[in-house]
Amino acid sequence: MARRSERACENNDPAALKPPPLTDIQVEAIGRETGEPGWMVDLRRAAFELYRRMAMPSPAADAWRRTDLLQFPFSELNLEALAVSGKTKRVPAAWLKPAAGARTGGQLALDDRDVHTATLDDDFIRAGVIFMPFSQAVRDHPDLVRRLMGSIIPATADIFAALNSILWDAGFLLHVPKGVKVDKPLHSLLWSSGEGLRAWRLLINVEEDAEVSLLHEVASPERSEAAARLDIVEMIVHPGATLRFFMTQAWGGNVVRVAHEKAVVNRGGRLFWGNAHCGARSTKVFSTLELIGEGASAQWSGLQVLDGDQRADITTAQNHMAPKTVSDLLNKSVLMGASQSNASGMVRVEPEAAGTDGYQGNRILILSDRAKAEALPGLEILSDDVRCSHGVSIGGLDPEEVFYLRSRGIPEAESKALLVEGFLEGILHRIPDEEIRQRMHLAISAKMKTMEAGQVQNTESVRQQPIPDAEGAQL
Amino acid sequence: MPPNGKPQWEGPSEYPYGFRDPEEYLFRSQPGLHREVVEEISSQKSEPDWMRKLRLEAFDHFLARPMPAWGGNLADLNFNEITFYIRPSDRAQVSWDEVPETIKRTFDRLGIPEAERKLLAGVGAQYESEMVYHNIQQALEKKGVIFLSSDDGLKKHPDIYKEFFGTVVPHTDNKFAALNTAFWSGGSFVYVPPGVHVDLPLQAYFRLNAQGVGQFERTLIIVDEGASVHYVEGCTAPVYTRDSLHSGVIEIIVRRGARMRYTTIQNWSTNVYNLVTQRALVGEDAVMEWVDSNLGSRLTMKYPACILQGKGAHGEILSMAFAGRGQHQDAGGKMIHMAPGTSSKITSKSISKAGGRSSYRGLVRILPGAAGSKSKVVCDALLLDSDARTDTYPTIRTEEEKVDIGHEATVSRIGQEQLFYLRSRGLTEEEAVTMVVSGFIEPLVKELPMEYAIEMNRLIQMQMSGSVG
Repeated sequence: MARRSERACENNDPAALKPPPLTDIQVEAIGRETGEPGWMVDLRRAAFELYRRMAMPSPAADAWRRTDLLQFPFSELNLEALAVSGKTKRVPAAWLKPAAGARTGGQLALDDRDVHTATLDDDFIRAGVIFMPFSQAVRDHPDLVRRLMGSIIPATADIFAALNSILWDAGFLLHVPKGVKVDKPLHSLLWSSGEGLRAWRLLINVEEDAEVSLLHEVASPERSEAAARLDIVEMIVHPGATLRFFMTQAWGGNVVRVAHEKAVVNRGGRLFWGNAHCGARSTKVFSTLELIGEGASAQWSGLQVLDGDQRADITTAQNHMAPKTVSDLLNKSVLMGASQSNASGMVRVEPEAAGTDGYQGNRILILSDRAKAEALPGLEILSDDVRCSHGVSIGGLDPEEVFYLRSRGIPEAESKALLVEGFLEGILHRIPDEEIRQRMHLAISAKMKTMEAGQVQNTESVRQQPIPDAEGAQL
Repeated sequence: MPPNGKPQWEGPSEYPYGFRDPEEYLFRSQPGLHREVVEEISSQKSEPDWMRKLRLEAFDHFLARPMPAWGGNLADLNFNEITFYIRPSDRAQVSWDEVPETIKRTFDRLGIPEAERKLLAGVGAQYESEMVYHNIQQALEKKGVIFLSSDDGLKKHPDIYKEFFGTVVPHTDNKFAALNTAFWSGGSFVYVPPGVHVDLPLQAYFRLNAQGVGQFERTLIIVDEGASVHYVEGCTAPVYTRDSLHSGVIEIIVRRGARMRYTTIQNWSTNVYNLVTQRALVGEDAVMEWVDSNLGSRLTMKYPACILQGKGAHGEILSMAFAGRGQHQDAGGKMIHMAPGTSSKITSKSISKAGGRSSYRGLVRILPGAAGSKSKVVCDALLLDSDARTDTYPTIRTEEEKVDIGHEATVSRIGQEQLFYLRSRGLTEEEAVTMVVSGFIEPLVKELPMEYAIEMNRLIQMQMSGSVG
């Protein structure tokens, strides 16, 4: 109680807590800019109607009281960026390298709303796979988009989902028809200028018995002015289908991020979902697994590598709604500098979900005495035929392990780096594709390098190198 | 466990402490929240002025504060139907013979003096709002151990009360701490002088008899340097259709090198709201242990806490909850690490059946400066049938680098293989289930004094009887 009111008092910035002041004219301009069809413009208008009646969440609300994100002055952000198109920037070569090298089955790179690269193997095109920018999908596949967009995360979810539904200007659609196995990894990239307030969305629909792997990356250069990014990621795994979805988030340190991600897994469907958060100053993620068909399974793997004054607040839900469903969630955080991580998760087993197996794990490695960590792993079990558990461990590096490595002649900094590496390995080995794993590892190692150099406490040095050989990105 | 269509334990009908006595009282306040009742309590007790003022301040705070929006369902708790003060007798007797006959009969049926003769160093018995009996072994009294009702404690040791009352649990802590501070009556005052070890447990017994009554016991325990004591409380009430409220506040100070164990066997009838704040300040190298078993009540919201203030302080919580039909046990514990080298352990065991709900709610917090702190939390939940529900809501928060925190929770039902094995050895299914449940809570039961361990096993068997066919 006391803590809640304390939080509310902290919030004395008048610009905070006010939603961005959108006007009809701005909303109309977004659609006009891309020449999108009337039904899409109507969807934006409907979301705007909704948005006008919504308020920012209360900082005392359960989902928001652990983040400082509501104190961010959303209402002062530059919306002008939205109306400007075709502003060519250079997407750093490092990011453009296909994720799985020559094995990459298709690549989609957006430079904010502009398409930089769009390739897909002919075999997959012929098989009916759709992998294209969302704005193009709106024109080319209106039926599919109208049917599925917002079906998993509707604009009504909260004010940020509504805002995304009005503003989105970048996005990706991945659709795999029934029975099609996309046996080469796909790669999508959203490179952003890192200015103002923008929103993007990703929709993945894997039809019955189909199979696909996607690595999705978002990144922006370091800038000084405040910016915000809103994500909506919707995933549908149909009966017997398999989706492997991995995402690296490397926004610049000027960005705050509010993300809604949700996957619905049907009967016998399998989902492997991994994400690595390295960037953004403050992140609030709502990540939900919904197992709605018998025998559906999902593995969720999360990794946060934070330093400086970075904050990540991740709310996960594992909803078991059908018999014999399996969920396995493992989240790891490495905290340096004065960073903070909050992980609250809930495994919920509905009465009809007999034979469920649910796991939720949290491992937090604290490498600085200024870092703070909080974990709230919850269980709500309404069925008796279950095996559910969770585990949390929080701590620093084990001095005995460091001592052992040093006794083998390895210098202290290197010993520590090795142990951290070992800690990360526990998550990385859950990414089945070797090349995707290495790619995700790159972004992480860039951040960890500063630790090896003994600069754990130094924020600025980290900010200078979000990814190796991405110097071209520094604006 | 499938219900098999067999009758299940209904709770009240088989609750052995469900009998009631005629309601004849010296004083009974009007029901509902009234400032005059607060004044009346204070004046009947001829309290010092500071206590009267504090009560009134707490009363205002209670009114101003919203009901908690988390935890159990408090929507049906109607303060206007609760009688906040009932005085059954003049004063706490030290001789059992002088306790009024009806009350004596009640406690005889509950086995209080009998238990005392056997293994207790001192006994207090509270009936409605007042302690009706309080006694302690002479040998302990000679060593300077104080064991009094809180009312007598305030009268005889006003300086100690002035200094410590409300320092561990201030009335502004939560809505029910404010309610207790306004209406408190009864409870115990314990002081153990430096170096004194009280080998046998001190016991307090709490009984609600009247319908729709509120009991607000207030206990203050100070264990001085190097001393040790074990305090046990038990609670029962008759079964009425109107709900009763028990809202205690327990404040404990464990000084340097001292050791304190506080054991609760809560077996209120299923029409009692049990909303209790228990907290201990633990000094350097001191040890505080809470053993908390919640079998009864309609709704329990209770999270014993240790504030580990001194270097090397250790806190431990053993929490056991059993939720049957119509019951919600929202129990758990809090460990606040404030000093270097502090350690804590929470073990929670819960069993839910027949639509009952058990929730573990806990907090482990490591504050800056508490380097080298260690904490381990283990929560196990057992579900006995498909209507039951269990939840786990832990919060773990650290602002220190050099810590070692572990938390584990598992939820399971009784393994069919285990049952099959036991039945193949000739046990009935009911016996087999009871045996598995007894094994499940064994780590807790073995921490109880023997008499209580036997009692606990008996209560579990009673909860279990008729649950399977």
